[in-house]
Amino acid sequence: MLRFIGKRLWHGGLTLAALVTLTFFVMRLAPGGPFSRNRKISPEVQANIEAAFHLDEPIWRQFGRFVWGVLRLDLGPSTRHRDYSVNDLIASGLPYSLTIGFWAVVIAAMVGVALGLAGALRRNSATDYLAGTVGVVGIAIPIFVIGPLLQATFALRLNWLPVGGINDGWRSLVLPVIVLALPNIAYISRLTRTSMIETLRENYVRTARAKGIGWHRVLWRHTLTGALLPVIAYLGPATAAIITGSILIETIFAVPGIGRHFVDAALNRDYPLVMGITLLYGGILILFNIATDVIRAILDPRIRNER
Amino acid sequence: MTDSLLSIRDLGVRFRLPQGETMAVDGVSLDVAPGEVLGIVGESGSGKSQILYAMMGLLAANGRASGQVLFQGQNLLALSPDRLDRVRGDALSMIFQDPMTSLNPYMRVGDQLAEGLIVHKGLSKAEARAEAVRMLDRVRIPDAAARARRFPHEFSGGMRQRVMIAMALLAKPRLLLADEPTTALDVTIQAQVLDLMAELARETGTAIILVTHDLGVVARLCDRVVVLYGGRVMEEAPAEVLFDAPAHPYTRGLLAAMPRLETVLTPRLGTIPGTPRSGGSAKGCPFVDRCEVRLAACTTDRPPLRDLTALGPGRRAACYLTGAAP
Amino acid sequence: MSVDLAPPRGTSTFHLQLRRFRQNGLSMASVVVLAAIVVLCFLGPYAFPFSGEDADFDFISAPAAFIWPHLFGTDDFGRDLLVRVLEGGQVSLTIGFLGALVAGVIGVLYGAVAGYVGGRTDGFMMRLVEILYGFPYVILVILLSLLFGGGNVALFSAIVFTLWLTPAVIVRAQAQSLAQREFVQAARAGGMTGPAIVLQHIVPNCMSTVIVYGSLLVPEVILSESFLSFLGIGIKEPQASWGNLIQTGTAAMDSDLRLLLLPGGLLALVLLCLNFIADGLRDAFDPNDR
Repeated sequence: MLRFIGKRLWHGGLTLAALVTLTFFVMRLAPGGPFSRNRKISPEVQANIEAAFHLDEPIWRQFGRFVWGVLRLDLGPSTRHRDYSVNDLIASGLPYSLTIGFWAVVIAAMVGVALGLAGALRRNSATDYLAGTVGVVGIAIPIFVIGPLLQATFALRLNWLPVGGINDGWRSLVLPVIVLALPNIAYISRLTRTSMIETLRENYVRTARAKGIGWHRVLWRHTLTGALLPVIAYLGPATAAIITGSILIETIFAVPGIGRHFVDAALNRDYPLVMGITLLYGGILILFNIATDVIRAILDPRIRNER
Repeated sequence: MTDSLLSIRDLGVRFRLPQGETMAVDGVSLDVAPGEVLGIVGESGSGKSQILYAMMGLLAANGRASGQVLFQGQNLLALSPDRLDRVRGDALSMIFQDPMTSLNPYMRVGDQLAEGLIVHKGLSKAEARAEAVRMLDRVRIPDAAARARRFPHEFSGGMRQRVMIAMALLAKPRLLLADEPTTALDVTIQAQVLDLMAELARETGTAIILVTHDLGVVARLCDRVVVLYGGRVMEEAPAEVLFDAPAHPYTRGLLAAMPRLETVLTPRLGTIPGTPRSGGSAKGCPFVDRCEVRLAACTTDRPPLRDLTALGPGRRAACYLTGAAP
Repeated sequence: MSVDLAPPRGTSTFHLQLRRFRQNGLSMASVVVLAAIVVLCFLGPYAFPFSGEDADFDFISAPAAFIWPHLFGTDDFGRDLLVRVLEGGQVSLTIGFLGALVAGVIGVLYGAVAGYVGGRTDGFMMRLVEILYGFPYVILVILLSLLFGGGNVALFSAIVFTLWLTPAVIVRAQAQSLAQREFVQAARAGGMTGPAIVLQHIVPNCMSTVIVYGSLLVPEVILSESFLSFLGIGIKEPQASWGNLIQTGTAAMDSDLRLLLLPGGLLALVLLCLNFIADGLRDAFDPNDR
């Protein structure tokens, strides 16, 4: 098991290294420097600024400087928000993004699995159709359509909840969390349903029924592990995607999280900030992938014994 | 028959399919005495496995059983799920065809065995585990105590089927249903596994219904044989007389298709021409299309299963010809 | 128990699958609706005496009164909403189908080669895919569209570049098992070259999987495009796309939901149809799945 985790960590490290390298060069190759918009500044000022951000050095030195910074967890200064470092900006935005992401994942997993299991156990029942409808709607209607629609209904017309922002405590969380959870509820419930139906057809479930141990025990002890393994495999990357998916949510609901910072940084070519957030997102994704693999290995002895 | 452990009366199994209803088992009646080994033979699709599934309440969702299955005085088909669960896995247990997929891959083998004892006999976890290890030892799993803590994928096919046998016999059932227990195994270990099953069953006085398409297996283990075709009983006889003097044309065809020592020199084994008819619900004898000796009546009227007392005790066949000519 | 499930003679598997698909009412209805939307988007604008970028200063922010010529009214520049939505549809649909096609072709070829060749080449190729999977998808699209310098081509390339991975992985797994099959080994023994085997034996035999997953790519591409345009990174004003129209609609939603509902509704309808079609294809080509 330790070897298994070690191997996953090593792979994750490799991916992260590739991510660091690629991000750096993509940012350097992208057209338009961070200061090319301010054309009026004199050549001397331009040179001073470039020196301050080490943009005058050869690219390999810049890369070395960047990698060294990453290793010390210092992502350098932002080129747009003059008085802030990238670390400051991330630290200010991350709590909002994580809070929304966390609740969205919890709700998506609980509601999605419950709907999927109910649908699989009572196929073609009212619950099954409800879950199917939620599934179709959640997958087909994009976040950026349903988000504004809910805002228009619950905030502007009914005035129950704030339109956006972060100043109303839990009430400001309700709409962003629901909208972010919805497509995942849809996907998870479909996945759970299919996987549970497949598991119920497994020969080993038939063996368990033949043992006469009672339907509830068959369900709990013999079908849940098999049925939920694919869901767990999906949840890892999905959690990372939900946290990154909050880019849209933060735009729609005016939440000052890192997603909003990222879009602004990308539009303004604030390279250090873009790179910093990319690395953060990549790190989160890799971490969740490793966590998923470990959980699956705990549940499934066949994965554990691989290689 | 008052001394019978199991008596099946007019069992039917139907499946609803998109293209209509199909009858997999049609009016089957048979009896099993305590300790007896009954073989059910037939080719694939003859409905032989479905008889077992119907008894265990394990038919597929689109299947429905009719008739009566009296086991120790209770009609299994009429029991509530709870009552049925008290019978299956305890007095009535089953071994399945494919040992590779019939064990739960996420659970330790010992726990899977112990589970039944905990539920049916009320043993504690530790007692049940100890009992499971003893049983694994009896089915000759080497180093049983350590093996019980392993997962199914760490066992070979033959070992898994022995685990299945251990699981089925652990509760000392009165009747064991075995659905082609060795077809998925290597030919070299088939006999070994079957002998083990029969030996352990004899020790506990457990009766067996052995479903197979392998007549060699039947000859080796069974006291009595029921030949099934198209979901209906074609012939029933004590094992030794069936091989010497088959009464039904279908049984004769089956025997001709079976390799034996004395036919090794003949270049070709016999085959039955044609393919099995589907459904089994049409009128007439289900075997009529492939039968070499059919009469005009065979296509219109279904031959009833009749006692052939003239041929010996316990013999029955469903054929106009055998009924007429002793 | 044996029931005759075999198809009538002379029917290929593909025809059988196609017939199964046609029997699926919901999927067939989706095909019809989708076709209608496509026709409407590409031919509809010709019915009007102006284009979506022409401002009509006599009708600024006209409401949806179903009065000719501005049936659904205009936006705050006096541009006709319906025509803009239809033109936006042209962009979104073109990028969607073309993007899925290109991503699919790249993925299939990549996966087929990796799976067929195997060994170190396969290891290296799949390692690359794994690293690209390590990038958060949204981030990768945004980074790439920045790298390619903005504009429609950049957007298209960025989306294709992020979406070819899944078909590649799926096809590779199939190609791997196909490479061991007798007919492929026979072809190799018969002196057929590697590229010929990949194109004539591996790829055609992966086709039903590819169709199923390919059909799921289309809505994904459309969604990515509108998502980026919504954020202001994809297709930019004055050119219309469903993403930036929805964005405009969001900005005006406290006064007028129409600007949001028309493009948003059409986008949702298209995605719905595409999902039903993909479901139908999966059921038809892969009946064990349910």
